[in-house]
Amino acid sequence: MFFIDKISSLFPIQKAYAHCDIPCGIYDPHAAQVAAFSVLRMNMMMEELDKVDEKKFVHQMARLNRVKEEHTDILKTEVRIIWGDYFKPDMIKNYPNLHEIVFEIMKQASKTRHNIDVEASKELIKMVGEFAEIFYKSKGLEVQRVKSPYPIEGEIVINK
Amino acid sequence: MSSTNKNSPFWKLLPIARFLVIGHSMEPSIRQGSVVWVNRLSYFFTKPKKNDVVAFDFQGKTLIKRVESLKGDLVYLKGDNQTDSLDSSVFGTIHRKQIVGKII
Repeated sequence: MFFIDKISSLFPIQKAYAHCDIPCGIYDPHAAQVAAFSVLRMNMMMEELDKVDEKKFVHQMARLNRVKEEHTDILKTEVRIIWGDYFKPDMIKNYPNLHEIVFEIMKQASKTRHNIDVEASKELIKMVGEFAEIFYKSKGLEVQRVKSPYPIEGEIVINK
Repeated sequence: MSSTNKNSPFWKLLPIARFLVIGHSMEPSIRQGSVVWVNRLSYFFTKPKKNDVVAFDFQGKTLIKRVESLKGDLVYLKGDNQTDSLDSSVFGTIHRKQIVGKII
């Protein structure tokens, strides 16, 4: 073994990365915002469901709830990726409430799942918008709030 | 040998190379801090095969992943630790020419 170790040590050692620290730079809070609007839309549609035909009601409710669950998952994943991978410690100094905002988004997203809660979904959109605003500002971009192009009320945060 | 220049052409001519693995994406099969050997000649006459673990060049770094599939010269790679791996599911396929060699 000693001999093998000696021979091995003659070879220079290089680094091979087996992690996800590739600075791909492709981050965008848009997907999280779209997911938040989808959650709101699902809750609105659930409230509007016709309960006369029970069979149809149960079937449609199951579909809407499945989509709502999917979009809360998308929202949480997208926010977590930007928070965990994009933001660096020196950037956090400029946005000291970022951790709290992300924590609250996670909780609020769960809240929208617990019930058919339109108001909670609207609040979630606002919170994700706030997160998006911090993201764009951290990149030195000018932020703009525009009316969403979706069949529901609300603003979407974009960069100019 | 700490003063050895790892980038010197001499070392690149050798058929095998020694790598220190940094990161968790290949766990449990290859743990962070492991030293692995790479055979640069493995794919000289043959193509990479599914489940081969390969070292490849990507954006100026050498990465290590497992071959998931091969289509022509395009290789799809995945990390064994799917909860913490940035691989072809994110950056897409790589060209066969980017492969440095097979982990032996």
